Amino acid sequence: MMQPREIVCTVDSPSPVTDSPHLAAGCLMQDVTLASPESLHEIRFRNFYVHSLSVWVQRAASEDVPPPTSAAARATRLGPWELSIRDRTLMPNPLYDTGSQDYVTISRKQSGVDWRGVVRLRFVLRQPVPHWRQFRLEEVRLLAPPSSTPGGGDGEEGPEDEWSKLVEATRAAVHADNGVQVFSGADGQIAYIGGSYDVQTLQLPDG
Amino acid sequence: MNRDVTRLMEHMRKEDGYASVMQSLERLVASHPELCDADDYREQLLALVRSSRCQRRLQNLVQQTVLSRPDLLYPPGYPLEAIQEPLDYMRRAQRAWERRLYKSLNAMSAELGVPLARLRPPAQQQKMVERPEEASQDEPVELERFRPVYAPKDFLEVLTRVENPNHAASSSDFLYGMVRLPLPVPDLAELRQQFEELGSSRLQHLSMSADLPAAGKPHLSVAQYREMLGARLLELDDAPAAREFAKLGVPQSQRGELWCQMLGVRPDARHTAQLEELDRAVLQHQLLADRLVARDVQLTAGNDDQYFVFSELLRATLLRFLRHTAPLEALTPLPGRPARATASGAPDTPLAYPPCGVVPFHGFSMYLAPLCFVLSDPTRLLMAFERLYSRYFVLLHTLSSRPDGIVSLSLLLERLLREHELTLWLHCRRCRVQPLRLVFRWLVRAFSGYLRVSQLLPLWELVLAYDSLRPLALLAAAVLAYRRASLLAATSQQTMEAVLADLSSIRVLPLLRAVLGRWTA
Repeated sequence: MMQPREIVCTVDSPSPVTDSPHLAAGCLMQDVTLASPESLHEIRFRNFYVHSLSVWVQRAASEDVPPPTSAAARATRLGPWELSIRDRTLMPNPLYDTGSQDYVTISRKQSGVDWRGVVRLRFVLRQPVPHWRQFRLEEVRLLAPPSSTPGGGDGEEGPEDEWSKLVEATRAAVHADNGVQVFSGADGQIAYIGGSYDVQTLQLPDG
Repeated sequence: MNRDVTRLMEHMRKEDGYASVMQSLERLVASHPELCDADDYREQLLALVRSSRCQRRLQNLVQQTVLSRPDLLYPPGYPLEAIQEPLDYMRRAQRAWERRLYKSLNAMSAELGVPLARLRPPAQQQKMVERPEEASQDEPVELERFRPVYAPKDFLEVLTRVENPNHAASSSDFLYGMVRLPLPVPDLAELRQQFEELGSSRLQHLSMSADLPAAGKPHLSVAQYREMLGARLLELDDAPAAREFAKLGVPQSQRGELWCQMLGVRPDARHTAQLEELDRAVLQHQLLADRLVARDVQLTAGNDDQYFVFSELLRATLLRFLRHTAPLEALTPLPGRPARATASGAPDTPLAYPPCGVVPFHGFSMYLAPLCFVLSDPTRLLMAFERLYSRYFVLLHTLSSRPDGIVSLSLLLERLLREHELTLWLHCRRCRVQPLRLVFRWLVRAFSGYLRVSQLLPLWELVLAYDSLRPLALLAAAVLAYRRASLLAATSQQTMEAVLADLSSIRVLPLLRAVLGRWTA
C-alpha cells in the first residue's frame, strides 16, 4: 500500500484570537507553518475537546491565487487567508465527552479551496462550553498526495496484528499436543519441564 | 468503499456460519448450470441469490460480523486503542483497575503456592477421565482458600473515583450523584422512543397478556398467536426479524432457537470438535482461574434454589470457556485488556491469561446460569454464552465511555431518579445514602440471581431484542420507584438494603411499562 508522505511543519500552541479575554472566550487559533509551499492531500489530527473547527489556508502567490490587498502582504509573495473548511463539528454535543478525543482526517475533497502551494494553515477552534479547562488539536500531521511510485508496506506491526498474535500464541499453547519433557531427579521426584501453558506470573500493565 | 468491503470480508471469513453460507451458495450455483454460459453472469447470479434463502443468510452473516466487530465502523488505520476506548482518562482508569486485579492474582498465586497455570500430572488426568465425579468432590475443602478476586462493590469504588481532568465541574453539577463524568445519557423522551414497543400499552407483550385474546385474531390467545408467529420466524431464520419479534416476548419453547438466531449461534461439526478439544485442554492444564470459577459456582449459583441443579454443567462450561480463545478474539475492539504472561520454556511469546481473556470475579457464573434454562446442548450453551458475554456482559464490569457501559448505565440510573423520583432522591441525600450503591450489584450482574428466572429471561430478551443494556438501568430505577414508600420510611443504608433485598416478587414487564408511561418527560 502506498504510504502518503508526511509533510514537515511546525505546529504552534493554541493562542487567543484577540487580546481581549471577553471576546476571545471559547475561541482559539492554532497555526501550522510549512517549510515550503506544498500540495496537501489530508490533514490528520487528534481532537482535544474542540467543538467545531474552521480551517484557513494561506497559499504562495501564483496566478490561481487571488492577490492580497495590502502592499506589505504582496511583498511576502503570499496570497490572502482563504477559508478552506467552514465550521466542521467535531463534538456532537459540546457539553459531553463524545467525540472529544477522536482522531480526525480532513481530505482535500472537503476543502472549498484547492490545497496546492499551501504555506500556512490556521485552525480556528471553538468550544462554547466553559467547563472544559483546555481545548486544542494534537498530533497534527499534514500528508502530501500519495506518489505514483509504489512503495512497500509500512513494515510496522499494528496493534491489531499484535492482538492476533496473542490470540494465536495462546491457542497454540493451550491446545498443543503434549510435548512436555518429564525429568526424573536423583531423589525420584518427577518434574515436568516445558509445559505448553505453564504460567507462573502475570505481567502487570503500565500503571 | 472497496477497502471497507475487503475488511468486512476478512472478518466475515472468521465468523461461525461463514462456511455453511458459502456451501449454500455453491449448492445454489451448482443447481443452475445454465448460469455458466450466461453473458450477464454477475447480474443473473445476484438475481438468483436475491430470490433464494441465501440472501437472508448472507444478510445475517454481515449483520453478525458488524455487531461482533464494531471496529469495522471506523476508517482503516484508526488506532486500535482509540477504538477500544476513545477517552484517555477512562482508558487509564481501566488499566489501573486491571493492574490492581492482576497484582492481586499474582499475590494469591504466591500466597497459596498454586501456580497460575500448570500441566496436570498424568495420574490426575487419568482420574478425571475415569472418575470425574470424584475429581470434583475432593475440592470443596481446598476451595475455601480461594477468595474472589473482586466483588461488584470494589468495582463501584473504582468507578466513582474516575474523573475527567479536563472537566472543571461546579459543585452544583451532578447534584449528589456518585458518578461525576460528562458522558451523555438519554432522557425519558429518548428512552420512550428507543423502547417504543415496551412503553406502548396498545402492544401486547407476552409476559403481560399471555391469556388475553390476541389483537386482530381474537379466537387465539396472545400466547398461541405468538407461538404461531414464532414458528414462522424460526423457518425464516432472519436475525433482524427475530429481534423485532422478541421485543414483545418469545414463548419459552422457542426461546433457545430464537436467542441463537439473534446471537448468530449456528453450531456445526466444527464446533462439536472444538468442544472436545476444549475438554482435552481442561484435562491437560490446571488453571488457578479454575478454582476461582469453582468457588464462584459454589458461592453463588450453587447456593441459589433456582440454579443449584446446574452446578456441574456451569462448572464444566466455564472451564471450557476459560480455555477458549474465541472470546479473546471477540474482545479485540472492546475496552478491557487481558492479562499477559509467558509460559515456562517460551519466555519471548506473550500469552493471554486466562486464554479467554477474562478473569472471573465474584458472581461471574451468574452470567451463564440463566442460560441453562434456555439451552441444554453444551455446544450451543457455550457459544451463546460467549456471544452474550462479549457483546453485552463484558461492558458491565469494564470501565468505558460506551453508551451501554456500566459508567453510562450508572449515570442513567442517577439521572432517571433525579428527574423523575425527586422526593426519593432528596430523601436519600438527607440520609446520606447513594441510590447507586443500593442497586449497583443488580446492574453488574444484569439482575441474575436477584430476579426469578421467569422474569430474568424476558429482561435479557429485551437486551437482545433492543441490542442495548439500558433496560437494566431502567428496571433498577423502576424498582426503586415501585418501593418508594418503604424506602422513604427507611433512614439508613442498611434498612434500605433490607427493603431491596428480595426481588422475587418483581414483575419486570409491567414495571417497565408503568415507568415509561407514568413518569412525565
